[in-house]
Amino acid sequence: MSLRCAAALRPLAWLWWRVYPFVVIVALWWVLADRGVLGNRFVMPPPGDVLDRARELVDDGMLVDQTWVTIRSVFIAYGLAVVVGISVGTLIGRVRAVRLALRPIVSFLFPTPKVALYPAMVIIFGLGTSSKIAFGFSEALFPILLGTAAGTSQIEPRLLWSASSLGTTSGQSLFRVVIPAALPSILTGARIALVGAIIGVFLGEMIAGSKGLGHMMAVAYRTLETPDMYVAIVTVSLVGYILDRTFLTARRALLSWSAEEAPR
Amino acid sequence: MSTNPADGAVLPAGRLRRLAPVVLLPALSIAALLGLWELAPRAGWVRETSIPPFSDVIGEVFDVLGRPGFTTNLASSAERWALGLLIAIAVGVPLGILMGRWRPLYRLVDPLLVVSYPVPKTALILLFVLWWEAGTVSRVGIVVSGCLIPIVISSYHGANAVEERLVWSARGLGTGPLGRGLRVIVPAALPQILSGLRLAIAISIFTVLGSELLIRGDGIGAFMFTALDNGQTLTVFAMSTIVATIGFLLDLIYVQAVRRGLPWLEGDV
Amino acid sequence: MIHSVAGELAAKDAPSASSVPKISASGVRKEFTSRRGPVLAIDEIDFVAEPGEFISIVGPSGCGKSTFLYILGGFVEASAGDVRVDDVPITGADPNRGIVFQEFVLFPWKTVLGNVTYGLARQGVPRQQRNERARELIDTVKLTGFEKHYPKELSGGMKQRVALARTLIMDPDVLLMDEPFGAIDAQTRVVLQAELLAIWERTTKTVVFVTHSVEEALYLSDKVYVLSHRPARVREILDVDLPRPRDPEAILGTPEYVRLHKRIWALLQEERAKDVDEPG
Repeated sequence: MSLRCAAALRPLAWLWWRVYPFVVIVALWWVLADRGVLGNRFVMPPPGDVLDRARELVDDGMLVDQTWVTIRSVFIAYGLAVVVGISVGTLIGRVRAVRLALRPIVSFLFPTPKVALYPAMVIIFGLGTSSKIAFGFSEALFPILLGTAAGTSQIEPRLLWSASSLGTTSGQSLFRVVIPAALPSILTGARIALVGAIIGVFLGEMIAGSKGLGHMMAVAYRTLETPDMYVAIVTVSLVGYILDRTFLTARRALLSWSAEEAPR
Repeated sequence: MSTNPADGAVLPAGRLRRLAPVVLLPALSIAALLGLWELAPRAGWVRETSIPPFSDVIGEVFDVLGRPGFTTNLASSAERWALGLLIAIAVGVPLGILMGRWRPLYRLVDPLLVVSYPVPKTALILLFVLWWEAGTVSRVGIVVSGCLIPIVISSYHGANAVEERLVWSARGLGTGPLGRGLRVIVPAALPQILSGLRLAIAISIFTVLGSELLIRGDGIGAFMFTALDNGQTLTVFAMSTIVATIGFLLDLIYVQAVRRGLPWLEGDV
Repeated sequence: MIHSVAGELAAKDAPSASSVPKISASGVRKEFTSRRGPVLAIDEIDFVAEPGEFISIVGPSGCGKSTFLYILGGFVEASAGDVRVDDVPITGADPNRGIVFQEFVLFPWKTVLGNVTYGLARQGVPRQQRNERARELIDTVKLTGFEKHYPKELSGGMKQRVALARTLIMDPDVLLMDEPFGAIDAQTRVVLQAELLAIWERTTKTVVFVTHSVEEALYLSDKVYVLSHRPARVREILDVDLPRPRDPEAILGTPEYVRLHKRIWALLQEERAKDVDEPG
């Protein structure tokens, strides 16, 4: 193949590898539904049925509304996790007393399955969106906190010395040196946290809620409106995929100066 | 001429002064937190029906632990968890390693992993029940689906990062591909694999619990949901505390087991 | 000539210099606390630098010469002793004492221009002015055209030039250099040494240069402080009476150079041997 030919095909190849998993999943889905491998049309509606149902739900506004409820909760949970995670994480990374004091609490809570705490959150915050936000927050907090703590604690001291010999005060050095230097680690944690927030909110809505995509899926399960189940989970997955991709693009831009390889 | 005073006696007072914050600060913060938990509901800062005092919760914990229903449910959940985790390891580790050593497989599988990464796997339990009923297949299958990806990814990274020259040396000494796989690649990739495994343990516990909260039946999650449904606040908090502690202990045991079982490993997983 | 510091301070024979040395450190001592107890890094160092002098500090590896430099810079606090610049005790880091490290230590998230203008930005210099000033310096260090590059795209030698520009833009009176060419390939090193001398000869900066290369010390400096093994003390101070400007090749054969080289080498060998003998 000539060099020019290969070069022209490269963007196509890139596009193919991006699209191919969707093709595989839809194709597999269609085959399984068609052959009734996992059950009949009711148990596993083919992709076409689900798409039709999705269109219906978009038309009557319900899908958009429910999606917005979920996304809103995700953003609030994630935003809180970012603020708390980066602040506390920086304190842990830079102040020895804080690290010593908080270590047992963080070590205990980090491996805990946060879903175990969710019923308690429902009792405390009620059945509304607050408990879902709390759940999403608890899932998203730790990756950011740990990523920030790791990043801010491993800063080359000579970087800070250089900054101070060029006239940076200790207060300034936090935002001018510590955070930028820790950014790769912070963003790695932040990516994991994003998916955590989505999962927390969605599951929270499923287990005990009254609104949102998770609730939609749970209700559809109980009322046996099976296509709605598929619409709900596909929608939340797509939302998650788009947010994750957006995050990765933003990360690449923010870390264009970094010598490390970006995650796939 | 002065010499290094380090070989003199190190004053006990000096060491004490250095260790005191290491012990005192965490102890103080734990005490403060638990103290707050105890005080807030009793002083009326929060409703007791929202957050029961710490001592009441602990009392309930011991009560719950003694109930026969609890132990049988715990056993059911534990079975599913263990089986699901083992299957995920048996499938995920070889898959990840093969992906790490054979580029075409990676190109094929990786995009699928990327797309399924944001999918809330625990939610799939509802679909699994549609397809396979609410029996063992669904319940174990959901655990597998939950922790498969982290296991595959970490095994991939571990195998991918193995120094090529290690493999060449083995080949030069006459080891066949399977031998190389077992004797060189797996040990070299082990730190990464074990790190992914640690994560998988946490995720699998999450998945078992989450799926049981959704479809109930039996198991710890079902037990918890019933208490929530019946408004048994104290029991719910006690259950949360118990499961949180179980998660913490399993993680601790795992880290210690790895540290002792594989002393040549640098750092923690 | 071999000096004692006391003799130096007493016999001020420099005709035009003020009686105040640029840098004076006396009785500097540094102790670190480690898990095994206190560790003495620097036992006692007295150090004097006159304005415009180029002084090298050499010593066996790990002897504490870098630590002493960091104390001069104000990044590390001495456990005991007095450090003064222009007869004023130092209090922490200051733009008037610029530092250049062996590992470049650039801000990786800033471009070359961003790195060089950093210090001026902290002082509130408006963007246009600081960019202009920076471009001048980037020209001086021969990196024109690389303003928009990130450190990750530069070679070791180029990164060190950026580090130098970043420090020089602040126009410090004192330049502290911690084995600045240690991580650079031999050919680039020769070029950078010559450029450093050229910059120094044009300005009146006082340079304190830590190195483990005796050749480098003799090529560059007016004086060489030879330190003992850890815990560091000043073993000897030697004047380098080679005429300037110096040709790095030509000086190699001169008797004065050979004598100095032999002497310093002998001292270092002695100190290294002692280090091996003692435990820990």
